[in-house]
Amino acid sequence: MSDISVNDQLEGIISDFEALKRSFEVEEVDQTPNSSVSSRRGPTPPLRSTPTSGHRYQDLGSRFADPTSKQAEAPNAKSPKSSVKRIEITGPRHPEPVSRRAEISIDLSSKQVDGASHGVPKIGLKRAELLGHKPPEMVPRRTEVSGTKLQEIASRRLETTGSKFAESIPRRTESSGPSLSEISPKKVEIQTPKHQETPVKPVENSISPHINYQQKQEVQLERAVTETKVKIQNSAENSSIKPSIMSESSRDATVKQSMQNEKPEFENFGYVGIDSILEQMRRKAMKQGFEFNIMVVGQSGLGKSTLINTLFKSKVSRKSVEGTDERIPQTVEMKSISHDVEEKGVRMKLTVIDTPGFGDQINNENCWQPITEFINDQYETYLKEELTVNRKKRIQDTRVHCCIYFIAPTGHSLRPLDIEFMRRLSKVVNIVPVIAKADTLTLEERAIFKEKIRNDLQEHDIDVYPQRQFDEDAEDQLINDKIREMVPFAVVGSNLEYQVNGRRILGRKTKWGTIEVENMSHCEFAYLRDLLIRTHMQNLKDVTSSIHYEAYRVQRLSEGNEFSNGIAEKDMNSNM
Amino acid sequence: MSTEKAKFPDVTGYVGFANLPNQVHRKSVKKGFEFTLMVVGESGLGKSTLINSLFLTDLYPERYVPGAAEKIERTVQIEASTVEIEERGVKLRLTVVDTPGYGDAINSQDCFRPIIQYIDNQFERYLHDESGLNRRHIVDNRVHCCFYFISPFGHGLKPLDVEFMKTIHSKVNIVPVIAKADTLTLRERERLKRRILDEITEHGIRIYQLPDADSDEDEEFKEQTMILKASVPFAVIGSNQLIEVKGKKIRGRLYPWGVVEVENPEHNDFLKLRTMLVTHMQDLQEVTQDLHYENFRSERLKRVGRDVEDETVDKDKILLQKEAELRRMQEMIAQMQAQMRMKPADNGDGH
Repeated sequence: MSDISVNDQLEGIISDFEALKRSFEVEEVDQTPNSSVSSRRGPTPPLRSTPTSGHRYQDLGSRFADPTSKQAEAPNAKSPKSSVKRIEITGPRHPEPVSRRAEISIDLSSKQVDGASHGVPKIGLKRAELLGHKPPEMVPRRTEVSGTKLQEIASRRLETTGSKFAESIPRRTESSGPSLSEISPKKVEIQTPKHQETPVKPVENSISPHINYQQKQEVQLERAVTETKVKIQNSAENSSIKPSIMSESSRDATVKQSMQNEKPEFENFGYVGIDSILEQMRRKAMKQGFEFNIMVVGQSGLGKSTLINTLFKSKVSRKSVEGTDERIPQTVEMKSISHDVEEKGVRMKLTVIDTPGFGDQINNENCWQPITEFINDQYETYLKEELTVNRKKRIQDTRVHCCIYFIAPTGHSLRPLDIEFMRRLSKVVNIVPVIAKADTLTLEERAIFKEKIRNDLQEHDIDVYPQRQFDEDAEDQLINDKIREMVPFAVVGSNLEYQVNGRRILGRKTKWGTIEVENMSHCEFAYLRDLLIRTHMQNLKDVTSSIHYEAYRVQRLSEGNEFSNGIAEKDMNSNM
Repeated sequence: MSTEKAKFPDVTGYVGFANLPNQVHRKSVKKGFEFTLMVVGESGLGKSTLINSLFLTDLYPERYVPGAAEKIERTVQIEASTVEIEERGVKLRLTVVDTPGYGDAINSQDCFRPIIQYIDNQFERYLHDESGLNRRHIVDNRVHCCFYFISPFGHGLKPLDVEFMKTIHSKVNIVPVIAKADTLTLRERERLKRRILDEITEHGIRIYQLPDADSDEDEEFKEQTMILKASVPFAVIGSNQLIEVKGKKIRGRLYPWGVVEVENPEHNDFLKLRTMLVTHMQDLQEVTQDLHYENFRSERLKRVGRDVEDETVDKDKILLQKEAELRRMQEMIAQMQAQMRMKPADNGDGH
């Protein structure tokens, strides 16, 4: 793609979205509760309030002026605005490539549903990565921008990022429901690439297209959701401007110029404001908060509680609440514990359902029954709520969204109990199998074991999450295939921190070495966390509500019909 | 004279019966030793690897590990493999009895039956041989020691572990072993050991107790015994892979975060287990003979005795019955005789 063509296309698209972006920016400024965010906008609030091209460029200028401050703000992020990642590609790039780079991660962190405290350090990491990868990717990225669709960019990102499936997930959000609640969790994705070299960070932002066009220099990876999907694709070039693009100062400069020239003309027509619905939805979702119900199943001692605590970086497991009662109960009990967690203004009601006693007895027949009953009970409750005449505006969702099944690391194959359980439950709930206490397997053993497990699952027709049949389109399939190759994840959990190379990390310290929980070369905990929280959380909920719950509902309602028909017939017969 | 006779000769010289142990030694070396070791535990705990590591042999050259589907159908099997090991002229005939399928099934209620049956069969056979006429070459296939593998992933003993050990502690020496000990940090290991010991005493399970060192043994041996006793249950790691560490090739497991050495006493108790087994092999055999076998024998014979009593009771009954029959027959005969005497009288009168 030549620069010239890129420019032409960009100009056309930019003009359409400049106004949009401006309007979003105004909103952003108004809504950002975070002081940091506002401070970031600080230098330009007055500018923002008036959507004029001139101001915009002033914004740019100010942005360029203090990239570092922006970066600092980024982590705190604007809550209302979906992760707006501003990667500014400005003229005076060379003098301070570092600082500019830093900005790339700006908004990503804001969206991360991560431990609140971890926002900043993550960003730092990302920056480092970006920096590291800057030179090789700059040029190709630039070309990407011109005319390639967002998907293409995403796929390229996939290539560069290796197995980072998260990249294309924001795409998925575009295609999947427009629920704004998706946006927040999706923003988590931004974090995932951090581990990888890609500087491209998918930034979900309902306003992204606008912002992009407005400032070509700013590389903002913003994903518009549904409504703006088309726009995004058209303006893919803009939004796909990756940080790497930053290096191309000259082009940016010219584009900027053209943008500047064109802006005033197109400001007033063409923009209706439909995409502002995303912002409204987002605001609503933020106010309402999210719910997530996760169930952990496995024999006692496999590290379930520790893993949950590690996943959510807080003491949310049953053990932490009830105390360490390590006796094995006689029957399978269902213990459900709820916590309200909050991160960067995003509130979530997290419920962890524990199943002590599963698989621990001598005779484990039917030990899955209490669990199946529990899951069906949750569906039943929801169904009843749905069917009442005066139903609540927002039904409390206690349905189990995800069930993590812990496999003992024997190294041989799945056990009969594992197969029985997963076979029955994969039909009613999303199962994510994990290999527990994976520090007992060497890497070769791990690979062999995983292969065996996958074969066993296939042999018994067990479809674990992400289910192949529910892949919506090719991109989904691509991302999910990558996940399916890694399933089951070999995880190690830990509540203890140790000092390694000057950093404090979670891990297990033994005489022969320290196992780092978040180190990808040690175990796959980071992948599991990204899957569950940062990229697929909303998808888990969607599959539960639109597929598993619907199947239950259909079955129940048809049962109900049969029953009533039967009675009617009987009456008829008796009458006759 | 009588006083002289009464005087015992002075024992100034060396008589030579101190040589007896050497003679025994030579004889036993020639005869060779026999030892049967049983390994019990859930599949995937590293039993085969540990056995191979312990004896530095490959007892399972072409091991077939069944898939999950097959495991569903399987019951517990007993597989005995024998190897003859020789070291410095001393021959050892080692039999390892494996129990694949133990604890695999969803319902493991019946999984100890085949094992108990096997042990009893071996005792039975020995008893039979012992009671036979030719007692020269009795092959001792009795199980001398049972390594019970406890999973390191739990919080202590599982219900299955407890049930099994309670059933078997009166038949065989149980040595509990914590498998795959590289899963545990040092603290976790100590905690697990303590918990297991507590649970063992709580349920009244009798595991094999290492005998205290005699007071005349040297200090080093005494100390070694003390350390061994304190380390039960042994937390072991098995491996037959050679890894290069600091220029030396040692057996271990290579992880991305470090290398676990099998023979490093700081990493695990493998060396202690091996020492225990080797220095106490004789003792294990003795305890099997004196305690478990004798228990079995007395139970067995008591049972036989009860059968004999039942028979004599029957005999009495039969006697009574026979006597009653006899009396009846005698009465019948008497009647017939009386009838016959009366008939000729009638005939005689008719003339």
